[in-house]
Amino acid sequence: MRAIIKDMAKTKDKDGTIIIVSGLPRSGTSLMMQMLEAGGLPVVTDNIRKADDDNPRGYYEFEKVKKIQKDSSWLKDCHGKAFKMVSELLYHLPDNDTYKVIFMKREMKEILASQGVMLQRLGREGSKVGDQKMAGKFAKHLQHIESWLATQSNITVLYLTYNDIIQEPLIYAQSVNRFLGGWLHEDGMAQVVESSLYRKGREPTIQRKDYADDDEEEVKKQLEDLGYL
Amino acid sequence: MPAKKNTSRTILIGLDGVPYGAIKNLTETGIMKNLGQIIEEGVFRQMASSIPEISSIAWSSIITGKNPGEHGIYGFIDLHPGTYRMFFPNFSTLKASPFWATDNGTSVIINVPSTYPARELNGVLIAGFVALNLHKAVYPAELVPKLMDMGYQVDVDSGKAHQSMDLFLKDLDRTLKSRIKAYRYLWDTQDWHTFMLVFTGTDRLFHFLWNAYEDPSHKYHEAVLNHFRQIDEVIGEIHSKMNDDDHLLLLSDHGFEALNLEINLNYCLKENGFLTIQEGKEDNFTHIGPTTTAFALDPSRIYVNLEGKYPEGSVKPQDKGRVIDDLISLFQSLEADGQKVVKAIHRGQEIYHGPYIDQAPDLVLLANKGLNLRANIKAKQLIDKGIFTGKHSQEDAFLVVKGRENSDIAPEAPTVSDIVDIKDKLDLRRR
Repeated sequence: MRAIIKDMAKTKDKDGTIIIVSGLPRSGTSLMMQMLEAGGLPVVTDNIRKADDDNPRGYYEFEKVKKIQKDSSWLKDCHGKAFKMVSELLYHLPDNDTYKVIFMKREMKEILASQGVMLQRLGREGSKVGDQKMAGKFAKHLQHIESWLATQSNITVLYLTYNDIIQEPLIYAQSVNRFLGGWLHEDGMAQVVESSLYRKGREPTIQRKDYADDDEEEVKKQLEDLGYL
Repeated sequence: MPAKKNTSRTILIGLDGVPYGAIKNLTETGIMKNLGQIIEEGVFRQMASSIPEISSIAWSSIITGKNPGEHGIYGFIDLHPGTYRMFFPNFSTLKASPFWATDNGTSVIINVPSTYPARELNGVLIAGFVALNLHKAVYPAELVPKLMDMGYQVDVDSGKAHQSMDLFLKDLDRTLKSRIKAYRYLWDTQDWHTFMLVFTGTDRLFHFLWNAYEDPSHKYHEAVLNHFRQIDEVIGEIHSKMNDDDHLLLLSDHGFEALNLEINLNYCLKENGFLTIQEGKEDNFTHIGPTTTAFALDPSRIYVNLEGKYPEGSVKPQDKGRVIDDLISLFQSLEADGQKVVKAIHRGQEIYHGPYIDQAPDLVLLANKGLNLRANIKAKQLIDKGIFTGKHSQEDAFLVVKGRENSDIAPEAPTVSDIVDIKDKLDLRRR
């Protein structure tokens, strides 16, 4: 049994592992970067792409990431820090380093809608390929990259869904913190999500799915009375 | 309230946790003579429950016609995806539509488990267990004062059974009587096409007093039978009020049987090195240790602590198959008091399908007779014997369809996921 447990040296990522926030464009990667930064994790960004209405708190992009196929020397300065990378580029990570990837997912129709709105705002034409074809293409890519990630012994992944984070920011802040070694400021991470929901003109569209917090103890009691839990 | 005008309708009556064998016994002995008459002139089948045989899953399948991979309900508790944080799935978590959301007609839905909080519908809904606040359990809200006047109680306080069985039985009776009042009021005042009424006291009774049901000399034997007599009176009343072209289905969500021992699966996983708790921390799911390879959720769902799926997932995806094989070996050989514990082991990927399969347990265990599987992470021993004398069973729920002419509509071996289909076929037949 022990042989198949991977190396569980949970060293604090403050000093070691390279942390990557990845996913499809408009899947919530910028939100996750904001959370990490608010939690106290150094982030790598060049701020070349400025904040706009689509990402009012910035894109957290780092131009060098896009050229990783040609030059990955900058990675040596990224230990214990986080940067953003679209999932397509994960294939090009050198295998002589170790990485923790927070892979953001989001409901496909929302990704496509968000991309459409952004392109419209930028005055660019959307893809000639229809939404259905695009969704199929993305789904195929996700399937492939997930299979590939599963076989990479130097990459540890945590898959999270944007829609879940919006519903329960603190719970997911705790999960990310645990994944990264447990030293981040969870409340600060959660607050980023709460405030992003209430920023001008962007009311939250998803209701919390749980019982209210103060109800949970009563639900638990009722289930325990019947022998559950 | 509108005047009644519909004449061709469907009525569903649920008896939570009542096994096929008990219905056979209670009708043959005349305790449930009205139901006996319906069975005599209709279709009576043994029905398979959900896997695992838990009300939240089974009723979600009954009202949607879907399996957990499609409706997303795998138990009364679950973990938030990507975390070890527990939550309690409810009606808002249900991903598939209940039949009343797509039916053309008006529905009255009373006490279906896992329909809390109530959602808007064309008709009336009073949610069932676990429903905490009547104001959130009822749609439309205007009905709440009327229900409060009736003393409506969503569920018996099962906590009372842990103090005094007499107190519990009194509360059970009070709950049943308030439910009957609500059904009568809504039957008469609403202009409905579908009426669904579920009695859940039957399940509560069997949890605590299955032994009393089985043993005629038991102090509470008559009390158990009386509960069924009262329900049978309601069944008779409904039957007598039906129009000639109305359809009637009676069903349970799972069966019941005697409980001898409770088996704590997470204790077993700890003892065999699959589950660890962080040093110095309290035993709960949020403190699962980093070397954990598998853990259990109630009642018998086993999850591999997979990398990517959990923040400290320790099992690489390519090693998952080997961990599952190890778990299967463990559970196949598990014994309690000289008895093999596990009757069947199902792989989640084989028994579930649909868009929410990624949230499915990797394995689901079914226990041998008399053994109740639990996932209490705080358990300090493999075997427990508590207050409960009955446990759910998977293969022997029941289904009754009024009218022998409908025998072609009910499959020979139905499952809880077939109910919507049967109802739809009955609706078509009526037209």
